[in-house]
Order: sequence, then structure tokens, then C-alpha cells
Amino acid sequence: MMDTLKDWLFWIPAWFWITLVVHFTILGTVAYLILLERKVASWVQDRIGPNRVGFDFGLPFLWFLKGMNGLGQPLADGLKFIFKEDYRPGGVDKILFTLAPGIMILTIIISIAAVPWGGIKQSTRAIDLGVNDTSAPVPADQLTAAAQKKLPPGEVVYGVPTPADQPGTYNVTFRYSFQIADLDIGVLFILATLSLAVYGVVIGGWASNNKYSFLGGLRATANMISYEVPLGLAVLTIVLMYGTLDLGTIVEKQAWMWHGIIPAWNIFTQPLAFLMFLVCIHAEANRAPFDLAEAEQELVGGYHTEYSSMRFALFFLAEYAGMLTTSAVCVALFFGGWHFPGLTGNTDPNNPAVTSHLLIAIVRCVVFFVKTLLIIFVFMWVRWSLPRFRFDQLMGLAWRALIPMSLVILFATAVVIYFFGHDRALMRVGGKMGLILLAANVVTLIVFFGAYLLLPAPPPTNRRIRIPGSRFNPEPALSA
Amino acid sequence: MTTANILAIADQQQAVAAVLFYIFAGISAISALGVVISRNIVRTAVFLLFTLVGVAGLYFLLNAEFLAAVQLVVYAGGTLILIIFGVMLTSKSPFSRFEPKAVEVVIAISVASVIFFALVLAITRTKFAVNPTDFTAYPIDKLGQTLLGDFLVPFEIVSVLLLVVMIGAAYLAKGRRREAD
Repeated sequence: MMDTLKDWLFWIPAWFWITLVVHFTILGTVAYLILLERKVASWVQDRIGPNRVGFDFGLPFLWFLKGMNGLGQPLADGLKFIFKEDYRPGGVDKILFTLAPGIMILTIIISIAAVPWGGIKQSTRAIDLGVNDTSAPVPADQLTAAAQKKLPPGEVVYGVPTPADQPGTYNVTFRYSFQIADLDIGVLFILATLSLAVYGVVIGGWASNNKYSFLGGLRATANMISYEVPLGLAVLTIVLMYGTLDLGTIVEKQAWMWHGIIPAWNIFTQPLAFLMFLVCIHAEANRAPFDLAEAEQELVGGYHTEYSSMRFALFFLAEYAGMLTTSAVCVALFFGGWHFPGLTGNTDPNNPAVTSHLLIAIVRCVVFFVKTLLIIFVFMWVRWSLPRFRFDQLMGLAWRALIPMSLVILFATAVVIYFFGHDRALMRVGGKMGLILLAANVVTLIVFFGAYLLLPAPPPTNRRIRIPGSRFNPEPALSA
Repeated sequence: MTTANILAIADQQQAVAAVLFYIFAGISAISALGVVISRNIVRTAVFLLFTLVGVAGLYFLLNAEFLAAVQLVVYAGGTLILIIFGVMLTSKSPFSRFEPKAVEVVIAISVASVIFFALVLAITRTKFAVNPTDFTAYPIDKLGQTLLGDFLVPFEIVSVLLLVVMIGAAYLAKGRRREAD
């Protein structure tokens, strides 16, 4: 009985477990990110923040679970969202009103699939391949194909299976990526699915049949479309360095140390690209200082003004899940993903991503996740520290500063790669080339600051609009 | 991955791929019908979104991942959002509806049926390779080298054309605003 169960569990493919764990972790983390946001807000504003709700549910015999420094807050919030009245105002487009939050959360959850959490896991297992003809040696190709057919999807046979003790049984070595979907175009896939999230905002704003919601939706769309351009260009600089769109490979190429002390992460070679990427993912997440879409002083609440109950919760969760995805991409592109000094697989000298220990793969996932949470902390820190941009400043930052800057840095990277081409076999970036890239980044930054100083200064005040009776117009208001 | 690996994987995934094919094809077909039938402009655009996403799913099933991602980025994420933007900004009432005339319906049906029969003829007369073996024929780097190598001149001409269109659109938009002042 126990053996059958074990066998059965054994044949559930690895991607199934990974998908299960990743999704539950993401959804649980998103709930706790909201608590973290409130805690960070109170830290910035010198308050205590939520610290009352524990897990005692008001039951006296659970006194020891009381308080817990507010850790029960997400549970209470979730329950409250579920039990609130699911109110839909009159005059809305009924189908689209319900569809919008669904589109938003769905696209963002899909985009998480391509995040390379833990490198590549290599395992060996004795499998009965059903080739019993012992008279002649079986061709290698046929053995590989037979072994591949026995494996669940996502696990790829590595090398040629070797005969095991029993006849017909072979030791099959296979590898699988420790992520949900190992796509050749990982970065592009994430950018593509994230670009669909804007539909949730714009459709939600439109379907509400409310001018303020509609304005919020339009602002969010303009914001997200504008910042997708520099975001894509910043990603392209990294893609150019490694010649691949596969996030797993990009992480793998960063998993080594310069002179044994400095991790070869792209943050050290492309700091300017990182800075631009960070600004753009703030804008993509529609958070302060880019939260024009929900500027409460101007628009009541933005695109989700008319939403309540779980429909609102889905919008809210999608914002945090989106932050989680973009931060994970940021970690993979600029902070070496799962790499931490001393944490390489050592299974395959040519490929540090491969490990044969399950424990190492799991530790890598934890490292990746902690790095992601650190980036998210920066998100929250920025949100509670900086005031909101004006809309023209927002657009000016994207079109006049970020896009030219990212084009220049992309061009500089291309030139550096052309003239100082790296070790083609390993496709790593380091040594002289890394220093030159760093210099190119710094020079670009200095040139742009110099150019900024040379530009004619904008007028020191806001443009005044002469509305009769406003404080910019001394004429008395037109009275009837 | 060797060819033996890839072939075996494809063989194994056939059942799943068949189910997914019908799901994606169904999404595309039903929402394409919705695009035609719906009278509400924004709903039409949302149906079009699902059509494009369904087609992207079909591309994924055919191992054309790059094409699928480009379909999502360019058509679903770029072009369609601009269409929705334009419709929302220009339509007079928020829930404006199509009211086609009888003549328009007749013209649309005749054009659509001609295209439909042309497509049916093309599909039934073409001999498709039943068991394609070369899965790795077009990886992205090859695609890029082809675009910027063998097809450099057409590629550049298309780019210039797009640039001209963009400048023209900006000029037209600006000119109208001056008139308004």
C-alpha cells in the first residue's frame, strides 16, 4: 500500500508540484504584502500600524494566538471582502464590469509562469524502458526516445540511458527546469502577458459608466503604454548582452564571481539600465509616484471607484501580484536570480544552473524569493516617500528622459559587444568588458545630466488656466 | 535537446495538444462571431481581444512561441488598445451602438462569403505535411539573422513606411488642433 502510494506520487510530474507550490506561495504572499504595505506605511509615518488581529477568532481558549503583531490581518481582510455586499451600480455594462477584474488577475497570474525560480534540477531514475532484446545493443537514439516517452512532460532526458541491474531497466538521467514553464522566450512572454493587464484597467473604467472611473482608466492606459517602451528597451540591453530571451539562461550566465569576490550580476555592469527598469516597473504597477490612475484627490478612486467586495479585491490583489512578477523579472535580469555567493550546483562545470540536490534547488527558490521581496520593499518605500507626479511630468519623464536614455544605453551596449565581444563559448559578461559596460553607463548618465543643464529651463510655475473666479483670475465669477 | 527528445515529447503531448487546440480554436471562433454580431463597439473590441489571444494560443501549440508572444505584444497589447482608446475618446455616448444599414449588411456578407470560400478552397487544396519533423527550424536568432540579413531591404522599407505613417498621423492630428484654436 505504502509502496503503491509512493510510486504514484513519484510519477506525478515535477512541474505539477512546482506549479502548486508557486501558486499557493504567490497568493499567500500577495495577501501578506498588503499587511507589509501597511506596516511599511506606518514605519515611514512613525506610527505602529495594524497590530491587533491575531488568529484567536475571538475564542477565549485560543488566547495564545491573540495579537501576533497583526499577522491575522490578511485573513480578516479576505473574510471581510467575501462577506461584503457584491454591489453593482445601475447603468454599468454588466458583462464587462465582471470581466475586467478577471482579465486583470488572470493575465498577471499567467505571467508568473515564466519566472525561473530555481535553476535546473537533474535526477536519475531506474526505468523499465521495455527494450528487452538483449542480443544486440540498442541504438542510443532509440534508447533516448524510449526513455523520453516514459517521462512526464517538461522532463528532458540528458545523455544516453545506461543499463541498470535488471534486464530492460535503464538508469535514465533527466533534467527539468525548476519553474512552471520553461520558455525560450521567457522575457518576451512576461512582457506580452503583462501588456494585457491594461485591459482590466481600461475595461473596468469604461464599464463602470462613471466619468471619474473612465478618466482613471484612460490615464492608466496612457501611463502603461508609454512606460512599456523604455521598459522593453531596458530589457533589450540585457537580452543583447547574452543573446537569449530565456530568463533561465540569463540567470545562469550571472551565476559566477568576478575574482572570486564580486557576484557577476548585471546590476554592477548595467546600473543605469537597472535604474530605468526600476522606474518603469513602478509606472507599470500604477503605484505612487505614478498612481495618476487612482489619484484620490482628483478622481475619487480611479478605475475601481464603482467596485466593491471581491471584484475590488481582485483588482487590489492583481496590483500586488503584478509587483511580484515585475520584481521577480528585475531580480532575474539584474540581481542574478537564484545565485548567491557559494550557491552553485557543481553538477555540471559548464552549466552552474544544474544541480542534482533537491535541497539546493529549494534554497535557490528561497534566495530568489527573498531578493524579490527586497525589491518589493523598495516599491513600498518609494510609495510612501515620494509625492505624486503631475500628468505632464509623468509623460515627460517617459518620452523625454527614459526613452532617449534607454536608446543610448542600448546603442552603447551594442557597440561594446561589437568591439569587445565576449567569450562566445560561455557567453558571460565580465572582466574588461564588464568594466567597459559600467563606464558606458556612467558616461551616458553624465552626458544626459549635462544635456539637461543645457536645456532651456521650463517656466517655474504651473500653466495658469483662466477660469473666471479662480485664484489666477481676479475677475469676479460670472453670476447669473 | 536532441531531435529524438523533441520527437518523443511531441508524440507524448499529442493528446493534451488536441484538447488545447479545440479550446483555443473554440475561443477564437466564438469570439470572432461575437465581433461580428455584437452591436456595442467596446464589446466588439473585447471580443476581438479574445480572438487574438486564442490565435496566440494556437501559435503556442504549434511551437511558434516567438510568433505567439509577438502576436500578444503587437496586436493584443498595442494595436487593439489603441483602437479601444480611439473608440472611447471619440464615441459620443459611452454605450454607442452600431446601426448598420441594409446595404452595408449585404455588402459585408458578400465580401465575407467570398473570402470564406477562398480560404476554404486554399485550405482544402493545400497539402500539409502531416508529421513535421523539423521543430527547431526557426529559433529566434535565426529569425533575426534572416530579417536583418537576407531580407534587410524589405525590412528597412517597411520600417520607413511605418515611420512615414507615424509622422503623417502626428502632422494630421496637430493640424486639426490648430484649426480648433
